[in-house]
Amino acid sequence: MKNATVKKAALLILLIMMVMGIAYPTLAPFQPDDFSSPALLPPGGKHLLGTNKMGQDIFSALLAGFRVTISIALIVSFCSTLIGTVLAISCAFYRRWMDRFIMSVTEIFIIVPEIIVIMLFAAFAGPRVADVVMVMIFFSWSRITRILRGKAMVIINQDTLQYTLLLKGNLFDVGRKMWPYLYPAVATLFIQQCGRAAVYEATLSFLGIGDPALKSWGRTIKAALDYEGIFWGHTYLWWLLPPILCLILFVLALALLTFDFDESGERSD
Amino acid sequence: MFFRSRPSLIWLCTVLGRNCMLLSILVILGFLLPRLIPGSPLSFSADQIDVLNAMLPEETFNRFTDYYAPEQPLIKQFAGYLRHLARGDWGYSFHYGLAVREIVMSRVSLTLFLSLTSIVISTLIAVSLGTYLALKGSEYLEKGLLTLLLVLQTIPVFLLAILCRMLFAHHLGWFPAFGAYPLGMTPADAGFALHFLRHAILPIAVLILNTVPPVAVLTRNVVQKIKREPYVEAAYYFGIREKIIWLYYILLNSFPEILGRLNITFLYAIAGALFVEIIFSYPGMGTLMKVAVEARDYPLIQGIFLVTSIYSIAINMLFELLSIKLYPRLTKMT
Amino acid sequence: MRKRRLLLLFSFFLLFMLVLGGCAEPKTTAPGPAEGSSGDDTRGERVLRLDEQNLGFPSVYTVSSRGRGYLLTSFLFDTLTWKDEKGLVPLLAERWELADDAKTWTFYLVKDAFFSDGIPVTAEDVKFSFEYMQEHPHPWVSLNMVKNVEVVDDHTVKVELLDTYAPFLSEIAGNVPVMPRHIWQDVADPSQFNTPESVIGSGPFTLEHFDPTAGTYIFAANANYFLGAPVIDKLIFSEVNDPAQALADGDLDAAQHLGYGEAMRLKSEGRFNVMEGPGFWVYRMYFNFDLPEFKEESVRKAFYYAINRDEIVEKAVGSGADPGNAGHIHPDSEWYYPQVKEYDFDPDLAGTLLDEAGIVDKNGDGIREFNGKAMQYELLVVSDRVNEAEMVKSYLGDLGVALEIKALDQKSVDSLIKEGKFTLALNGHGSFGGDPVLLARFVSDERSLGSTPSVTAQGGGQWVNEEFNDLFARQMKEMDYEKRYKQVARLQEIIAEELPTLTLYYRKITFAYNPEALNGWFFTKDGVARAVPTVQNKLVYIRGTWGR
Repeated sequence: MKNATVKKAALLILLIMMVMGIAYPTLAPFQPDDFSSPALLPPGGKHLLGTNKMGQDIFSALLAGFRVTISIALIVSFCSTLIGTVLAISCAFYRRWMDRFIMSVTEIFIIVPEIIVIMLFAAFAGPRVADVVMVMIFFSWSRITRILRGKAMVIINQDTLQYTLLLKGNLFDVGRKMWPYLYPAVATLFIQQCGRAAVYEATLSFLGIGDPALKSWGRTIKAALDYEGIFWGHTYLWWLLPPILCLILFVLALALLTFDFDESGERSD
Repeated sequence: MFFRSRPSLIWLCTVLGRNCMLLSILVILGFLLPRLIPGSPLSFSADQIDVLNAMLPEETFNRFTDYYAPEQPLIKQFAGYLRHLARGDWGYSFHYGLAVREIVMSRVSLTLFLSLTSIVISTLIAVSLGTYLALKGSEYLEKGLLTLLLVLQTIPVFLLAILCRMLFAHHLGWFPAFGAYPLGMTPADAGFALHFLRHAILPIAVLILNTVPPVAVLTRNVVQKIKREPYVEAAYYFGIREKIIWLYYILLNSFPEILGRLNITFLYAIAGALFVEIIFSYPGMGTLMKVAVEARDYPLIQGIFLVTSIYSIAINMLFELLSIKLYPRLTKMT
Repeated sequence: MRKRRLLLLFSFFLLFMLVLGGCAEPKTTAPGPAEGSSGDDTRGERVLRLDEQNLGFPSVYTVSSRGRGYLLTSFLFDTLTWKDEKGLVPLLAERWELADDAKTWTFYLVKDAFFSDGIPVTAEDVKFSFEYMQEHPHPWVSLNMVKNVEVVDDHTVKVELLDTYAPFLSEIAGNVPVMPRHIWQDVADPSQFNTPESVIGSGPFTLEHFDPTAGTYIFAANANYFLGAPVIDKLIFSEVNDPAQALADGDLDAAQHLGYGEAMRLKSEGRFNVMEGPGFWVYRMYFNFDLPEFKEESVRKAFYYAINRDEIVEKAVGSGADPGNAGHIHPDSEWYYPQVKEYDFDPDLAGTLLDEAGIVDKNGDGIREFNGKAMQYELLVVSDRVNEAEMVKSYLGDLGVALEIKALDQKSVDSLIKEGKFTLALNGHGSFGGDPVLLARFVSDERSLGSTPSVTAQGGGQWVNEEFNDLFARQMKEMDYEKRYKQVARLQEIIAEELPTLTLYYRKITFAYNPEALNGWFFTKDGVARAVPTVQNKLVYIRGTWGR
């Protein structure tokens, strides 16, 4: 019951964030790249969170971040979960060499930390969002495959699945039949994956990898830190802290959604 | 001897073989992926070669084409790649104009120092904290600490490092803010060791903060599970001293599972170390990686990938062997 | 219950974060490490620590081709002449004279200069150095105007030029490093020459240690330097991420790579001395003249009218620059000509210009077409100056020209521009003050004498103006300042009229130092060597004073 309360709160936070992301064009008082206002205004008046050194409205940039960061997180998470699930079902369906092959590739990605691989290969890719997103997707399905494969191996022994196999069902049939059993685990993994993707994006942005004009939270954090005077006055309060808090809140809400206080917690990086 | 029994020996061979295979897959991956990624200069469209030709001093460019031989078919390139690796030739850095292996090797020890020190300390802290939470902690304390650990765990390590640097290095001035030792100091100078330690404290502390939460939560869960096992309950029933139960019945039996997870923690610690180094300008592999990424120094990036892979495989193997040694009965499972 | 507790914890966390930042006010009393940086009564070891980029091995041909690289070698190698805050001063040549033909220079060398291996510097070494640099082209100095170098006696050398070359003393004699012949005569490939012998010169310092990956240079004073021993014993350069903070923490004695705002803050705090000077560093927009639309004068003019330079300076550079002027030359230069055509920000006029040229948006998608092709371009920019690019993108967007920003690292941008592999680019460079020879970068005529450092060159199609070419060649031979000024003024008029490049701003430079360490810093007239905008003039280390 206590768990449920926490989860409801987390869900509520996430919903609000997503609504803000969707409604951002109507909510944002300015275009995030409109630099016509005076630079470095403190919060107040037209600018809820003041302006940055370019005279851009920080609140609008933050709102844009809701859309950009969350959609990147969702896209990466969706695609990698999809790949991971398909591969896991393939393991259970084909077994033998296919299973072994997929598993050893999976093991590779578990042994070498994902973020390092993503970072190094994102540096190879062009400086466009799409390229970076592709790299993130490509390197983050392994954990999902590993966990789902175990479950799929058990599920495939269920009567309905055995029946499908008997009828010479193909991979797709098996997948469809397996889905109801697999679904809860996939949902959990999808949510965890969202959090990771958001952190990966922020890390890459912080290192200056990817599209420099992207309006994600990570980029806002980097821009704030690049501003040499960020810690002199109180500028950091309305420029640096909001995107950091949004990012942490987003990741935390996702983690709370899947974290079980009474049982085991999953690692989130 | 270390491995006396035959099954263990077989297992040893399996572990070695499997890790060798993993390493070779990584080597192949390191070769293939840069060539497959769109927009990468190693995909060797004529256009990209021209850009490189324009971007690099002739000397470096020639070494680059010598090393990667872009005009040859892929399979020959691969043979060349293996030949170079076997000779210990990892290519030639664009940015530094030096051999990649030389550069990477000069940096690797500091990164290992940071990550290994922090791992040892954080393991000690995390295991005792987790055990304490599971055995002694009141419900109130437990939930509170768990939440704190969870929050700590969600902060990306680079942000944690930035915040710690602001507070402890700049504001309080307790620790130096950057570097591994004062500028221009060499190990021969007096007081070097002291300065070196002072510079290492803050990065290591951040790494510990980052590593403790997952291990502590894990330990707590494992210990809690074992606490409920019938043989532990029975021990309580027989009135065996609590300390003995904790040590021999619970903790020792928790180790195999914790060990399995520590493996992952060790592997991820190097990633953490790289980011923390960047924030503290600690002259290890992390700062090198930042330079390589910023300057798009592809041979250096590949070299760093290779070293990271070797580190990871080594740690992985070490843990597998360790668990065989400590818990031979595990070898019979799976 | 639980929820409230969670909330409580979370708010604690928030508070923690606020406190973290809130107490991050600048701290003024952080004690530095104890290395003897402060001046004692007894002369302890005097070490000066500065921030600098990693510029490669500091021998003549191995160091970075950017100006700061050359300055590192200047600590090791001397030239015939040099500059200080007032202008030209003698160095290895104690005096010189120009023959009546205005082509032959005779230099009389000092007699007490030695290379750091103990062998004296002679006229033979000077002759050798000139000839070696002709044989092995160097990115920093081009010797295409030198006809012949002749040794008169041990300490007299005669340099004969193909033609009169006005900036010879400062640009050539002040930049050819005198290399010891006995070492370099056997060196076939100088770009590979990085042994300890390769850094033996007659300069005020010797190289004690170089760490190629950390980018740390340790120079030791040359006690036998012919102008007297340097006032410091050791000069350390190292890469530092946050120089202002390192200076405050006592890890540095002086900081050169400061943001303008940071420098102003240090100045207001008063603990360090802060200098501010004209930056001979220009940020400008490059056109690729292979594209027909950029050959249209009206397009370039419309762009310049549409870009608000004052706002770029204020917002993208934090006021740490002066807005560019159409004539390209820095307003603080003695060659600056103020009466050129001006292009004050006027988006309406910009639009009208394009409309009149028939470049309009026919299909109504908000983008103008040129010869039926939409005006969409890639804007190449260095990744740490994306702000400027974003602003330019927005200005030209208002004009009906769509830009896509492509951000790369400095080295790639330099070389893409050099190769002409770009359409539009924003980039900045030094080597911009001093002698008008810098205008050579707009000369399309290959035969002209003199050149600019190759790092500032632009490839692809060239802007061609015959009057400019002729006039440039003529003024390079003009030895009379007044007459030359008039010619240079006309060159600026042509540039302002035709805009081969859009000069956006001139960055100011700043330098902060701890007065407890070395004092006596100055800005060199027209920049050190070939207008490198910095205080890193080796004479500071000879003439300066230590401590308060």
